[in-house]
Amino acid sequence: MIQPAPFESSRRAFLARSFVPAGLGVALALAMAGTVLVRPPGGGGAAGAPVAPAPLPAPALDPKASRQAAVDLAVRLGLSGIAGTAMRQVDGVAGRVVDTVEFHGADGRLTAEITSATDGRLVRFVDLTDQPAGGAPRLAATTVPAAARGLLAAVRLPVPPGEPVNTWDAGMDAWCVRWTRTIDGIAAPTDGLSVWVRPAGRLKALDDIESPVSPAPPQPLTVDAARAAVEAYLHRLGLDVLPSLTVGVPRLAWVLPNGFADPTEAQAPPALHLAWAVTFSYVPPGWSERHDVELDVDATTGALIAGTETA
Amino acid sequence: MSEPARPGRASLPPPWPALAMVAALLAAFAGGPAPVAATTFPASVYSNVTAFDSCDGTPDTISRSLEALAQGGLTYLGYTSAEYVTTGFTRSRVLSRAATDQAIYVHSHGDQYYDPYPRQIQGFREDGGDCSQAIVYATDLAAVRPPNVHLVVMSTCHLAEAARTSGEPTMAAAYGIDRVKYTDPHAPDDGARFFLGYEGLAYTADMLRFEQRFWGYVTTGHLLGDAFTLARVSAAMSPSTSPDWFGTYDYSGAPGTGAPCTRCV
Repeated sequence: MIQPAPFESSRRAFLARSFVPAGLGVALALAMAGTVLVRPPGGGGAAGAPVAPAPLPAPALDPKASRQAAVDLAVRLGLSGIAGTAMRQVDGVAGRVVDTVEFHGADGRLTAEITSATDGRLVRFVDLTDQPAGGAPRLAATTVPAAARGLLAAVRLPVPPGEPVNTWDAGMDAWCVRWTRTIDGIAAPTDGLSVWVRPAGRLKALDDIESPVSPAPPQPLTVDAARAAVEAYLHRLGLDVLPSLTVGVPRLAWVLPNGFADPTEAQAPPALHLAWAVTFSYVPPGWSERHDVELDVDATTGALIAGTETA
Repeated sequence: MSEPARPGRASLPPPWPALAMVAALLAAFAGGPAPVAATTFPASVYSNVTAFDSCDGTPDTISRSLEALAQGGLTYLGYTSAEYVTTGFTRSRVLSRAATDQAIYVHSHGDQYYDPYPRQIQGFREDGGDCSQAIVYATDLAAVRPPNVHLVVMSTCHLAEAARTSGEPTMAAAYGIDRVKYTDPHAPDDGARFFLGYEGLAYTADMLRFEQRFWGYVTTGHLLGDAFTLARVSAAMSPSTSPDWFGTYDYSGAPGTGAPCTRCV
C-alpha cells in the first residue's frame, strides 16, 4: 500500500494525487482558494510583496484554446503525433493549474507532452520521439547556450537574463541549459528555466518553474544567528564533537520548506522562503566516507525549515 | 500469460501511484484478469532507514517514503515484492534473495568503496539496525544473481557511474545490464532490462522529488524510458542530483512476457 510521503507538503501531495480532468481540477483549486498561495502580480521576482490568499483566478484560456496552441507549437517544431484533448490539472510541483496535451503516434505510443499555464504560457515541453542513443555530444559545449536561446525563440518564450549553466545530462542524453531563478539577486535552486538540447541541436524538453514566493523579511536574520542555529542543532545531535566536522559559510537562498529537521515543516504550502543555507560535512563513526548535509534556516523566523543530505 | 488489468489514466501522473492502485483493485473487482501467481516474479525493496536517521542524527522520513513508492511501483508492474528496512535489511538477506530476485530497489548510501585500497568496487551499505552497516559489493551480487533480472533501481550516490577501477563490475553490470542506452529493436536479449541510478552525489530531497514522479509515471502505464524522461523534466530537482539509466528505453518494466503498460505498442 502506498503511503504518503510526509517530507513533502501534504497539500501539495493531496493536490498532486488529485490530478483530475479540467472542471474538477479547477473546482478543487477554487475550493482551496482561501489557502492556495499565488505569485504576486507582476511576476515571480517580487520578493517583498506578500503572498496573498488567492482570489478567484483570472479568466483562464479555454482548454480548447490550450490544445490549439499546443498543436500549433507541435507543427512549428515538426513533431509527429495526434493531439489529445487538453487536460486541466493541478501540477503537484508548483501547485499551479495547467493544461496538458498529450500527442500519440498512430501506433498509440506517446510522442510528446506539451503543458501550458492557464494564461497560455508554455511551462513544460517533452519530445519523446527522439530517444537517447548513448552517442557522444556533437554540439560543442560552448555553442549550446546559443542553441538553447534559439530554441526558446522557436517556442516563443522570452530568454531569461544572465548566463545559463550548461551541463551534459547523461540520463537525458542531452545538454541541460539552466537559468536558475533569482529573486532580488538571490538564487532559488529548485526554480528556473531548463532547456534540454539534443546532441544535434534539437529541442528535447524544457521546464519553467516559478514557485510562489513568501515575503522577504525587512531585516533578515544575521549570518551569525543562522550559524548559531546550526551549531545548536549539531550540539543537540552530538555531531559537534566529531573531529571530522566541517561547517560551510552560510549563504542566502530561496528554498521550499520540507520536513528534514522539523516534520511539521512538511505541512507548509509550496512557497519559497528566504533562508540561510548552511552546509556541513562529517565522517560518521566507523566510516571512511564523508557525509554532506545542508540545513536551511528561515531568514525570517530562524526556524530550521528545510534540509537535505547525500545518499 | 495474462497480465493483471492496468489502469489507463491519460493525464500527467501524480507523484503518488495510489489512484492507480485503487483503479487496479476496482478492475479486479470488476472481473479483470487474474493476477499472476504470487511466487512467479520475486522482487525486493530495501531502504536504509537507520543511516539517515539515528546514525546521522536527522529525523529522516524520506527513506520510508521512497520504500513505499518503490514497493507500490514493483507491485503494480506485477512483481511479488517484499520490503526490508532496519534489521531486516542486511547484507546476508540481500545476497540470499538476490539469487532469485527479478527486480530490486535499494535506497541507501552507495559509493565505490576501497576493498582494499587502491581497488574500488561499487557497493551499498546494509541497514542492519545499527551504524556499522556492512557493504554489499557489486562483485558479491554478480556472483549470485539469476540471469533474468529485469529492473534494478539503486537510489544511492555514485552507482550509475563507470567503474573507477578497470576490470571491476559496475552495479548495473553486476545485474547483467550494460551501461548502454538501447531502444527496443536494438536491445540485446529480449530488451527486458532497465537500471536506474544516480551519478555523483545524490541528495535525498531531490531523490524523493524525482522518484515520486518516476513511479507516478510508471504506475500510469508509461514505458520506463518515458517515465524517466518525464520525471527528470518535471521533478524540479536542484542541479546537484543527476539520475541516469541504462538498458532498454522501451521496456515496460513488467516481468515475463507481454507489456502491461497501457501506452505500449
